[in-house]
Amino acid sequence: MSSSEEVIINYQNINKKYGNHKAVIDFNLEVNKGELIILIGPSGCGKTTTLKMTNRLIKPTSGKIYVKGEDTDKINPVDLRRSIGYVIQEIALFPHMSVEDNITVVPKLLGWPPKRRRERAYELLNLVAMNPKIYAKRYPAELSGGQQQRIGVLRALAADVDIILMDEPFGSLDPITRSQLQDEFKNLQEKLHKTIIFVTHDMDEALKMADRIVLMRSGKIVQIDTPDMILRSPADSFVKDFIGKDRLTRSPDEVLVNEVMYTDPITIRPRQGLAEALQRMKSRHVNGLIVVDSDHKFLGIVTLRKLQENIEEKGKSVENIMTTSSTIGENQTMREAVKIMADARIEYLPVVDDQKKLKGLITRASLVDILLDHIWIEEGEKKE
Amino acid sequence: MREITFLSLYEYFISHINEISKLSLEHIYLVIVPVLIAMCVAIPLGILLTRKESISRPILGIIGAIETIPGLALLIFMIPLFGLGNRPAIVALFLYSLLPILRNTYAGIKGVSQGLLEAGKGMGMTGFQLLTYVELPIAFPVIMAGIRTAIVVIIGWATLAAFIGGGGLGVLIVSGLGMSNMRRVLSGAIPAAIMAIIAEYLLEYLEKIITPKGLRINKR
Repeated sequence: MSSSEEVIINYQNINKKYGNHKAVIDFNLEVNKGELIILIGPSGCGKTTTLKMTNRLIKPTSGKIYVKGEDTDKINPVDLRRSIGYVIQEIALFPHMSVEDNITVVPKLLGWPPKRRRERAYELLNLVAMNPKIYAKRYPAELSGGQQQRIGVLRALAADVDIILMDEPFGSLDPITRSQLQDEFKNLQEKLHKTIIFVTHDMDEALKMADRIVLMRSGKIVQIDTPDMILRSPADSFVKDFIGKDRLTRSPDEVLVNEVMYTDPITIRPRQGLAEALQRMKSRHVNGLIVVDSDHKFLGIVTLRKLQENIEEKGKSVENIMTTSSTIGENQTMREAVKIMADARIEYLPVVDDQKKLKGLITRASLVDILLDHIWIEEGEKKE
Repeated sequence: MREITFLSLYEYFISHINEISKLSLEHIYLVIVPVLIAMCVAIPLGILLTRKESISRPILGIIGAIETIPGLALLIFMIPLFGLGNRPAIVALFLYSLLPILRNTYAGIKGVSQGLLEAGKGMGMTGFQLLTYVELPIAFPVIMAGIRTAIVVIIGWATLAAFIGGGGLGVLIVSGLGMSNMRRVLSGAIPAAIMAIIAEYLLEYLEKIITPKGLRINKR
């Protein structure tokens, strides 16, 4: 969460009616600067309507929305929208515009000179590790779904806005690409500290990304809380159901390591150079690599920090700087995995078979977090 | 009637080359003028219809009905209004070219996906910017196809202008029929047919080179 508690968006008693149907009822929320708020709920719960009222694509029936202290009723909607980034599920890049032109649509509307627009597009492409020399002149049809949505996100950032609205931005992507983009976006957010209102119906996504989750049902807010608190103390049975029984009741003793491990971790050979290792981390967006020999036997781990400390020393290769690590067998339980990781204070736990061959990798990604929370809750209950 | 051989037709064509080229030029004029006017009317009207759904059905219906009137009947119907000569012909041909252009403009703009419109609006485009930055460029290939259809059809219809005292290659056909001179008829009909084929290819090529590059990739 942000360090300053400055309120940047303030929803006051927002209602939206379509005829007799109440789509949003008494929505109140103060969003702090730099916060990532996730609106979640079943379809028809009013989450998208609420999002679209923020930039006045939909007009509230009653209530006020203040953005940076200004009543949005009194701002020209066109100006308001240009000052708020907008990303939608359909991605909706303009097919007749190049990547560069797509990114800089809003700066163009704002009348930035061409040179400044191009610099901005290049800067943003570099931010998501898409080489501008390769991608700036391409067209959306030439990009993969994941690349398209990266551009969709950059387009929202282009005019250097403080607030971004995202309507199920990763919803149309396949699960692997989705998770990759979530990670990237999370990293990006850590650098940029934008205020983000994000709609999803995917609880995993919400738990992974949100600073605070706003859970909605039939137009009403059911619970507003941090992911942690939502998991620990769901407001009612609806929230419990929505979080999913599996996530709450399946004991870590029952979940085996090979059910949740990444089966294809990014590896490197011991004799490879440090620059090469760095390049691989960059291109795969990871901050650690698993060192294996030619038989795929596990040897150690190289972390980004270790690499950065030694990068100047030209003679060194990966084997000089790798560290050993605890490992775990694939048929051990997640409880054991979590214990090892917590005791050794490590972020990665390589999974190996009897011959020490690398089988996969457990990271502290979403599932482990959830399991950790769960153990906490259980142990708390035992003490009581 | 004398038997027509390729050679006799060729000889007739060569000996009347001046007349044929003059009438061909006039024919082109009879095509371009009504189609240009139709473009000026149908494209804005098509855009307007996408904004005012309530009037789009009746208007498309009326213009569709004009299309069903047989060509010669429509031309003759123009005589009391505009007299004889090229003028009534141009009016009639204008009416014929309205529908393909109007229909394609309407369909092309309607075909722009909701997501793109929402994205544009959400980013702060005004209605006019949405039209010029998004809708028209994306609808362009469809509108262009409508213009192409209109031109090719009108090249055929324009031969009828001669029946009400107008010019163009129809003059050769009408007078050839009157004299029972089939070579004369063909020296009007063949250039008109060739003109239609050339126009089709030329416009297709033109459409290809001015369609925005990103949309061409999509078509593959």
